Amino acid sequence: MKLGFIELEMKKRGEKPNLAGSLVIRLLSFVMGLGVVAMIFLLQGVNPILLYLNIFRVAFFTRYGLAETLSRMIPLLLIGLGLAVTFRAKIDNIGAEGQFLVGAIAATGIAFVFADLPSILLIPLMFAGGFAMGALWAIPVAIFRVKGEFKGSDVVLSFLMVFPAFFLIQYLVNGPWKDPEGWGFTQSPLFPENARIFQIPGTRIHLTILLALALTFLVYYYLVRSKDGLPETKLGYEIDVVGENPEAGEAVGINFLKIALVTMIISGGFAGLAGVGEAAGNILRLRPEISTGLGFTGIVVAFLGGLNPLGVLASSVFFAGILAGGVEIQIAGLPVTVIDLFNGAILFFVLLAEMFLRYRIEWRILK
Amino acid sequence: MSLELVGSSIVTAATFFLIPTLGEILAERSGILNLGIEGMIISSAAGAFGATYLTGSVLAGVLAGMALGGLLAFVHGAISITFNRNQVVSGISLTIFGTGLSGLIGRDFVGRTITALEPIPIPGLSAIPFFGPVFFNKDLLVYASYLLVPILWFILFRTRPGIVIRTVGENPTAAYTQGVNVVLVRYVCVIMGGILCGLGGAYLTVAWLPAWTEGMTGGRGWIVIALTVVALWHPIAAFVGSYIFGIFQVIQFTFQLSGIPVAFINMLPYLSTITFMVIWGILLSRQKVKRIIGAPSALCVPFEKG
Repeated sequence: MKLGFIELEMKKRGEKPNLAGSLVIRLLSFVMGLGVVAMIFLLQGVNPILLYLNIFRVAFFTRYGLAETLSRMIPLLLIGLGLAVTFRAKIDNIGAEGQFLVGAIAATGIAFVFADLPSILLIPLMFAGGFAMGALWAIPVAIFRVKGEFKGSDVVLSFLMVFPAFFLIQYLVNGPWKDPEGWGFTQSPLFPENARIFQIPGTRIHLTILLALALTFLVYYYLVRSKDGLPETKLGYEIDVVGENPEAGEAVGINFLKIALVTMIISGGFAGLAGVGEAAGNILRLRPEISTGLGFTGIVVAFLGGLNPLGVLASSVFFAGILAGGVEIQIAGLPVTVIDLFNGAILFFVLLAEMFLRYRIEWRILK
Repeated sequence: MSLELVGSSIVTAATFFLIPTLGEILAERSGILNLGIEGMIISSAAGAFGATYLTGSVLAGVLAGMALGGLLAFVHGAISITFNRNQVVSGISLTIFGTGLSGLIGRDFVGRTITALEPIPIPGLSAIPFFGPVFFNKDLLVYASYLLVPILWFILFRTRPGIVIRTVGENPTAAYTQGVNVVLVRYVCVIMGGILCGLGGAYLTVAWLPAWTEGMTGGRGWIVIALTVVALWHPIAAFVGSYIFGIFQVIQFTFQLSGIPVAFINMLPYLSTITFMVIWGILLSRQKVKRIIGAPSALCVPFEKG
């Protein structure tokens, strides 16, 4: 490619980039995403550097902010982790938002129906219910991805499934589960004491954080951990093969439908768990605004984390920080949707960064 | 509600689906899947409203919407054509980015009002009983959508550029060896598609509901992508499909006095779209049907020279 007096050439990299290299490139894509949004802020008359420093300071260097960052990290980690698994198999589930919401619905239902169970039984039951509902919401997407013959079918279906979940909550908190003492607010009553997940006193960090961290290492150990570039477990290997090329997978006897179902159950289930955590550990009731787009931010978390559980852990902390420091965005007079601007821009650059992981750009000046 | 009023609101809702669907058909026919429709529509809806409010001219608003749609589509084009990146992820990024951008563009215009585009009855045609008031007593953008359908059909299936576009979407390598500039064709189609999405977004805020509220598209951009498939990438089928989906949108109002909870009624457009798309998608997957209609074979396949 010739640009003026410079000639550019893209060459495939022979060796796989090492860990440090891929970390640097991802960090760079994060920074470049922030850079693009900074330019948009400048056009709006907001000083981006000051705003970024403030977000960073509030999110990581104040006691309240840090607690909030860790609290926001819990759902983002769970959702991002699950999404990373489906994205590895090239099944594009963007409906984690809906799977999260039905998880919260399941938690609420179980909390009130079995309100007389002791916590030690009730809370695991709520998590199981949330996982099952989230998975149930995801299964049609897996089937349609394999059986429906057009590109992007999984994307469209998974997104459209968000709306029935959202309106189902609307119906429940306006009807059968409406809080009788809610002053007309559309919300369920507070969860009974024994259905609440333990919070570290003075913060909103709930014990779901342990579950999220445990799952991170389980997914890493059983699906991603690799030796010489190949996953060590059979399932992990099959997911990677299908992700590279589903037809090739079928040819060597890997059942695409099975992989699609397994990965979507994990993905939907984890989003459901996140919903249970938010309902029973953070908000302590069901309301339509329970998610605020966590399911969509989770997509970016998964990709920035390189679809690797350990990377997802790191990127979930970053994004939780942006959410926790988000009060500063509103103080600067900008709307909350600005968070989406960050998410979109960063995702673009992550996508471009992958190119630098695979290709080397050589340039020379033409005489 | 009188039958004519119901019919007229179906036409309005259908127009909002039809214009972006035509754009997506054009882009996908050239082999580029753009899942950023929602982002382009909502940004240009905000932009068109803002521009109309500031200048007082609907024309300026419509042009601003189209420009914004084209610009965002160019970003998708650069990433998926020039850099050969994953089109699905790029489209998702565009949707997320566009949603954020719309909030930023529209923040000063929440609660403002503008004079919406006026309906202009077509002399003669608007006097036909029922059909007149339903189809021919609308604004200029609706009439434009009627014209765009045959124009796009003619370009795609009856002209040389149309053959080139379809060849690029079916087999870019073959087109390339015949001397077609694949990259250019794809850029033109994607950007034109974005401009049409921008027109659809502008239609929402300067003609249909002349106001700006955050998230006012309510995910309808995704319905457009479902429609493109349901319409088998064909402009005339897209016309029919848009009206069917328009009925799904409007049908909810007829249930409002029936005692069914509002939340379930609000679900209807999405549930009917899902059902329609799933049944259709599974029917399409039968090999024989696929051979007859055929999605663009090179959809989502990056083209690399040599």
